[in-house]
Amino acid sequence: MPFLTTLASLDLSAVDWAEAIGRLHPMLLHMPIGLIVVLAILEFPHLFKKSAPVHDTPRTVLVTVLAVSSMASATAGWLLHEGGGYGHPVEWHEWLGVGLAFLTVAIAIAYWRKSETYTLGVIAAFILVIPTAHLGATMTHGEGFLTDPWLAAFADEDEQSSSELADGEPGFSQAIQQTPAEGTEHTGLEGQPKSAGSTIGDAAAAHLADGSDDTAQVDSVTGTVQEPVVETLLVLTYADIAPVFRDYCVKCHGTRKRKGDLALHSLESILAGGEHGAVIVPGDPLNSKLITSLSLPLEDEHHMPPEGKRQPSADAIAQLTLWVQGMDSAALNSTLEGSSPDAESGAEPASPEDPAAASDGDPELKQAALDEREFLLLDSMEGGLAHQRSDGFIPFRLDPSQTNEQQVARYSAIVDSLEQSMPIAALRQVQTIPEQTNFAQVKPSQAALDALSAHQVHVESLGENSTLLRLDFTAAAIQEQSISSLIAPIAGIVGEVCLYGQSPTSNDLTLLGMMPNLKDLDLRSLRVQPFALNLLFLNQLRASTSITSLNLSSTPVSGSGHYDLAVMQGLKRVHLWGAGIPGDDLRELAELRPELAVLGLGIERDAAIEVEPEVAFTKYVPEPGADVDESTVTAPAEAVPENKTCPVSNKPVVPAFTVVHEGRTIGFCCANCPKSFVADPAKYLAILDKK
Amino acid sequence: MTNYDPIAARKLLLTRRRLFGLSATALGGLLGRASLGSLLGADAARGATLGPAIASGASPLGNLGIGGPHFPAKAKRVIYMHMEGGPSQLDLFDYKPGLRARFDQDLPSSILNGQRLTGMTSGQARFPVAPSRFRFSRYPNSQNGAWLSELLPHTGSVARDLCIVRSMHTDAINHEPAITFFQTGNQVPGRPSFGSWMSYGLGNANENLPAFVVLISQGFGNMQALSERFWSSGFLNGEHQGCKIRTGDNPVLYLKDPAGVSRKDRRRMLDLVGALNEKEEARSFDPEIATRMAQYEMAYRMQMSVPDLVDFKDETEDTLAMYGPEVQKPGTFAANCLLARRLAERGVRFIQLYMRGWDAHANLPKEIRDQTAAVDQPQAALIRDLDQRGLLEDTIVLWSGEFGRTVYSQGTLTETNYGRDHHPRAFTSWLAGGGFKRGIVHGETDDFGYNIVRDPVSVHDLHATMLHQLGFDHERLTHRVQGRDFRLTDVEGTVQHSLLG
Repeated sequence: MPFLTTLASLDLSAVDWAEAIGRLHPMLLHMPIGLIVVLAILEFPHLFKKSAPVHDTPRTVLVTVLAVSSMASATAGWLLHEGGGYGHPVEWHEWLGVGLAFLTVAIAIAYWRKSETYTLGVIAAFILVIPTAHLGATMTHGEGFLTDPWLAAFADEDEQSSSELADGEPGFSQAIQQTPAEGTEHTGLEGQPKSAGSTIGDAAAAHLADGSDDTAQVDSVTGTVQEPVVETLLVLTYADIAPVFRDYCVKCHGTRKRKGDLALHSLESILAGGEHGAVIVPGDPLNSKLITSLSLPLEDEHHMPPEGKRQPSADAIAQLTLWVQGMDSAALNSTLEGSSPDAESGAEPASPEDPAAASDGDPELKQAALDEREFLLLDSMEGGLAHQRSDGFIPFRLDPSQTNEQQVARYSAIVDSLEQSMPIAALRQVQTIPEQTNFAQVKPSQAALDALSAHQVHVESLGENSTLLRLDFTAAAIQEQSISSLIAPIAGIVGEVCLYGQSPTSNDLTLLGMMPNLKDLDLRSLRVQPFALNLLFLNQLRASTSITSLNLSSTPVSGSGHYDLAVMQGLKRVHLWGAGIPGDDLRELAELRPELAVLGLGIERDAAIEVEPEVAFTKYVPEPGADVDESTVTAPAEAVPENKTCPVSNKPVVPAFTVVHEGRTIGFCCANCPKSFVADPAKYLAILDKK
Repeated sequence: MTNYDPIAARKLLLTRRRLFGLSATALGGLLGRASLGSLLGADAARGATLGPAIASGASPLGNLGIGGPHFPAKAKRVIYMHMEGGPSQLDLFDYKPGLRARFDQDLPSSILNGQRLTGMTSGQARFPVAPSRFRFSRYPNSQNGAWLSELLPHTGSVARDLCIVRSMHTDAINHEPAITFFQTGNQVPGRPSFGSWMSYGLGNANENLPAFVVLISQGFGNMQALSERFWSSGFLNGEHQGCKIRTGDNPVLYLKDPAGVSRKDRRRMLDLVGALNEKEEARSFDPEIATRMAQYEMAYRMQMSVPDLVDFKDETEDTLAMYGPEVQKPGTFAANCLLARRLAERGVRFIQLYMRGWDAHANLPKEIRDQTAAVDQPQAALIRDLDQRGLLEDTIVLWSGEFGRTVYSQGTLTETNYGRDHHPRAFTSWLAGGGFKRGIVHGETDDFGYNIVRDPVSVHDLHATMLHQLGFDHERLTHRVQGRDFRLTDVEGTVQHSLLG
């Protein structure tokens, strides 16, 4: 009797009644719709007659049931909205529905009163039910449910516009399209297995496992950091992050509701994506709509979950991002297809094989695989293959088996091989300036200065005898991608850069990392978007040997940030207040770079400041060398005078007026008596001693 | 302005209409503002807004119109907390335990030395010594500690960051001339304020905000008038003038668009007025037109940047707690300290805070208790907040009154109550950050705290030293007007290297 036991254990107080009743709405609503249509058909012929409405039993039943069922339906709908699960679009539907319910009641009243308005009411209800029902259906089936089959017929004529339509606002899709640069870059850095030697991921795992510092070895002779290039990136599994989906997503994107044809209740459905295609690009969180829509500002219409819904914590978003970042798409494909582990070798990310071939059957998987192929193409450029990209992205991955010099050389080779792209071309010019160049001869072009000025970038010389400039972007009103294009023409003669509050891309950081004379880099309070997690990835700065001072206060730095700092050879001081680097990582950084001054964390300063006021109060201590008669000094307030009556006036002693004389604490009645006492101490001491 | 061409000047200026027009609209043309000297052509105008590196023509970048300091600067900005009225150094900083043995003793004439007193006490029959009734504590610093009053526990907790100068002296003995002297380097009104010189010398690092901002907090003690001219740009272009940020809905007066005027309409209006102004500027070379256009544009941008600036909602709980409970009350010293930090991190060059109410001629113990209760925690929090964000090292924080107060009591002296008169001959200021030595006490006064016995620092010296840290040779940060070069330090001032780390 499992059913009975289940029933017996039913705890009525635990039922969410609002939700339980609310969910009856989709069932109830069809009744009033049907009744309205039936009544409208019945009454339509009477609309043009001046006679009173017909009164008969069937109509009475219909009208009564309509009023009751529509009120019930509206009530349920109201509760459903209150209970959550729907966002803003519900508003119109809700108000129309409520209005309709009251209209049906009015119809019933008019019917009973045999009023002529009854017929008009029925027709009005019929007209009103159409938009109400349509809006409701749109919520369930998604926008374009009716029109999509027709749009296909127009698609050939104007494919461009329909795809834009699907992607939402152009600005948004543009922002997304900018990201593959960083996305692929980071994927390349973090956790991708390599065929030769120990892998980064393995090293990180080993490091995490035993906490030893053998992954980063400091050469004791030269003092240089040999191989600290370890990425401590956790690889999360679906099981780790499934609760996030369960808690924040599946109400609207699940088995019951499937908004935008997207369901997030299982790994398969997540990978399948929604009506706008895949929401996850394995290994590439920055290009995954799932992650980017979580990272958008709350007000953005593409932000998920919609404004007003419970929002996942930053931790939860971080977990999702790490999960996507650590996803091995090939392994995922094979898991989904249930193939043997052998099949995985053919889809190893570093190999040039086409993963699309592995997923012929499922069209959705094929799309994911095509994305994957694009990703592999970028990956294969690491060897120095020239591949020009319009956004100036430099395909470069750090290789822990190389020294910094080798890496920088390799980097330069890649940069040299990229042609035409504006910032890159400018970078090459910078790089060709020999080290001994007399910078007095290098002059910024007026055009470059005008461009900076037009974008409200403050340019300042560092002194009359300096040929270097300070650039302050604090007030700059610029597009994200143009920071580097503004700096590039004068990159060789910039000594200080302040990007307070700006949103530099990895491209911009790459340029900053290559500038030969940049000493002071101020990256306070950056707004790093659309980076998932709003974290700043510092790996682009690693190549810099010139930066000595770096300020990262209030700019959250990625989990591997401390390693990036450790390999910046010229770095002498770094401000990390509010950079979110955990204590363990700071200790590791201190081990790798003991001479690096990590500032602003205030740990020791705070302790001293908190302690001092308690211990520092010292009673009267003469200053060295001060010429002071110490014989008579006003005692501290807590001193208790030895006498009860004033030796001068013979009045009672007020403890506030107390004087220490030759070790004796003598009290007086007022402020004037001590003067008399000091004038002739012997006389008053005699009076005191007499008592 | 090296490109002074008298013939060009004559051609431009000395038409009858122009001279009269100038005199009528700007009488200051003869007194300082909108000066004749600044109307001498485009080069002069550029020099007036772009700083001395160009003016001197020495920098290879100067020819390109890039301004900047004379030499690499240690400090990029100044937060100057002016304690209007003159706080009592004897009750706060200048620890004189020996005076406790000299309660009500007449100040020896060897100390008084026939010096000029104010009219408020010069008639007093006697000058009784009033030792401070507040206990002092020693706080750790780089030397053997700094003695600070029990009124300043928070300030004491950051004593390791402070450069306390106990040997400041000034020329003026009354508030108006003394503040004017401290702000402009001259007791007579009309010279540019320190902040204006900064703006002039370095330009504006953040074009969404003025380079020189003034914040005023009302005091709890006896308050004196605070003239707007203390933050005037004098004979420098109007764009270098200090901008007062007020409390309430309208932080900057006349910044908001009137009701019904959209931002788009404002933009269209500015574009048209700008086009007309450009024509007029090309015709007249009047630099004030460029100033005005720049100010219009800045005001337009400030409509966006100022509300963001004065809104503390992006501050963390910890930060707000550090400044104390008053921080949420606009206009308090705590709120203004936090605002100062927000301005500093946005690149504003010179942030001038005024705390009124230190003029304790009577009831000093009560008044100074209220005053310090308002400033102690916020000013210490400001230092810590700047430090943790990496801003203290390139921000000069200056805390000073326009003068100090006398050791003798003004009016009746009792153990619990006394007053003190103005005292310009020795007082205490402190600095922090900007390359000033951390955790030192500089200078010494005599046993009565009345005269300086070691390492005196004049106001000109202080200005010269601060300018040095800001990258300027104070003798070369000049502006020519009325036929001579003017500078902040006038004809005096020595850089005090012993204060610098």
